[in-house]
Amino acid sequence: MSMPLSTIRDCLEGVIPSIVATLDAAGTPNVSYLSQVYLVDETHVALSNQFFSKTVANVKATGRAAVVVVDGRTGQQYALDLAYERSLGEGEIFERMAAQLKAISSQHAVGEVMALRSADLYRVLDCRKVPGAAVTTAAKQPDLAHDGERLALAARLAAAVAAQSDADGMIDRTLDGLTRDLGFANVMVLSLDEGAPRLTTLASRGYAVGGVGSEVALGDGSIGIAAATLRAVRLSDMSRGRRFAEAVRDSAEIDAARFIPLPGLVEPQSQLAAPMISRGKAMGVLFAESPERFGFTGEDEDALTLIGAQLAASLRLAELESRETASAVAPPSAGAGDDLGAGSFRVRSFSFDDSVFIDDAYLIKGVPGRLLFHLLQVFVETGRRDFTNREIRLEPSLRLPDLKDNLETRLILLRRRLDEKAAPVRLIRPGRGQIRLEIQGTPRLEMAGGG
Amino acid sequence: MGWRRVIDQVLAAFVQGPVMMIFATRSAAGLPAVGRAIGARVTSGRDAIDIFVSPSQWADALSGVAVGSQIAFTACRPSDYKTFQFKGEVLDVTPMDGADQAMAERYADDMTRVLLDLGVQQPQIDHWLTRVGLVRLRLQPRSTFAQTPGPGAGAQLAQVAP
Repeated sequence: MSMPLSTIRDCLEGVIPSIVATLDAAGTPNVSYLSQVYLVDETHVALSNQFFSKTVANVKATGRAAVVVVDGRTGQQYALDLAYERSLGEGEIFERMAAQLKAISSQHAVGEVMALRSADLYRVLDCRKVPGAAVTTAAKQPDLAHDGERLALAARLAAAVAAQSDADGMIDRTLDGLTRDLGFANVMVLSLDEGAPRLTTLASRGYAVGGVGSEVALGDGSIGIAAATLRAVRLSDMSRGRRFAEAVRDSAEIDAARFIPLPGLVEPQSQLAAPMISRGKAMGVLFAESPERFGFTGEDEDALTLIGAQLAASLRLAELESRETASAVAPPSAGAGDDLGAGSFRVRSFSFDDSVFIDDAYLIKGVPGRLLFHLLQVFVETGRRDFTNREIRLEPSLRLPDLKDNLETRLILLRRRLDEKAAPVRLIRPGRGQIRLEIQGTPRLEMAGGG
Repeated sequence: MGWRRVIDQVLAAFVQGPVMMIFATRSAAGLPAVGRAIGARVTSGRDAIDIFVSPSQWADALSGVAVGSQIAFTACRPSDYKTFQFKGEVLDVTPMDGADQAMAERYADDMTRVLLDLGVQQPQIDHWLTRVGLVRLRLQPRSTFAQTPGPGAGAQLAQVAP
């Protein structure tokens, strides 16, 4: 082979369409554009088969195909000679290609037309550069990361995340590391509760608004697809695409009064979403985006996947640890920082979705809303402001799903949302498994039935 | 009679516009080979298409081309992916004359503008739109196919009676 296949990795992002030529049994040529060429290993590629039936019929008859792929960054073309091996209708290669195609079609709003029929596996007999045009404009060489360098950075960041002792620290260390060490300017971490239909933003960096508590429907856009398919999604050129957030906003389910805008770039060109997988399930998604085309390389995808897996494992451990008996309770601060004389504020809870409003401003819904209202009820009735994860988990009125509660993640979400809203009630964590309310003013609680 | 003109006026206008052009042939080694064309001209009788090709860039694809060899030619509009494929025979391969060269250059200029508008960058475009050292390849389409991505891809539009 004239060139190692890894050379063409940047060609295989579906930005500049690839070309495939085949011959039928009588030698009649056919030529077609191709949505996706997937690099399987050093000697194999898979071609997406959605609808180019003549190509498929030809290779099944004659066994050979010629493909030209284009490096989306530089425009350099490569010619590949391929020998057909077999069609895959399932398995890892098929699923990865299907997830990527789904992401591209959701971006281009072409729907089911792009559904993958099969991933056709080929052995690569030769890979060579197509000679450049004789006259070329002086090309600016893009900055390409040295092979392996970013994975080493990712491994160090994963180790730093693993070294954190609490869930808050893990999340912050992850986002800080992604921005500082890996140079991702706009990043978010979203959590997914088991069985939930949507992901919730826990924290972000690089946006004008934090967006804690904003939501993305499972299966929607690059984030939703990464969570639903357990596979990383990388989009390198969204210039003709539709913003995934618009799809979220257009959704009929959106209730304007209870809507927190998802942070996002106005015109992202590149997005990278890596599922945070633990025990075979998505616990959330690590997300990065960029206003530049080709903002992320294949190595960036591997790096974010690695860090996502580490964060998932670390958060799972933190969750388990917080279920053990709480560490020695820090001495009650006797309301340090509280100022009950600072007037009163109204806290309304709507039972139909457990949403909570403070002085008519929407705060949060679901389990975190239920949690906050419960803590405030206890406080109003007894004056108590210190709680433990353990007693919350055992509180029947909170109806926490047995053993799947992700209580730590929900407390983080609630605490960060209160901070972001500069709310008159805040949560602080005096020690592992402990929660303390800090209150400015006197809460007046109201329960409302309807919306 | 089943005779229909393979290239109607609409198709002729499409293929002479700023559309990306690719073709496939059977190489001298008997294998499929890919090339790009830099502009196309439909002959006045609308019975043949001239395409302009760089033999240095697409040596394999031109290695098997001779009078009477088979060729597939596809034109695709990048803004909406509207695509047509022609299949037929090569009538001849000749050097470019002044009019051919002017046509290829005009095509490269127009295509460059379209691609720049779509956000593609000049250095990338330069790899695809070769302007020098071209030859003219005249092909006679025997059949045309709609190839716009989607369920209708591959549908035959017209065929010349054999």
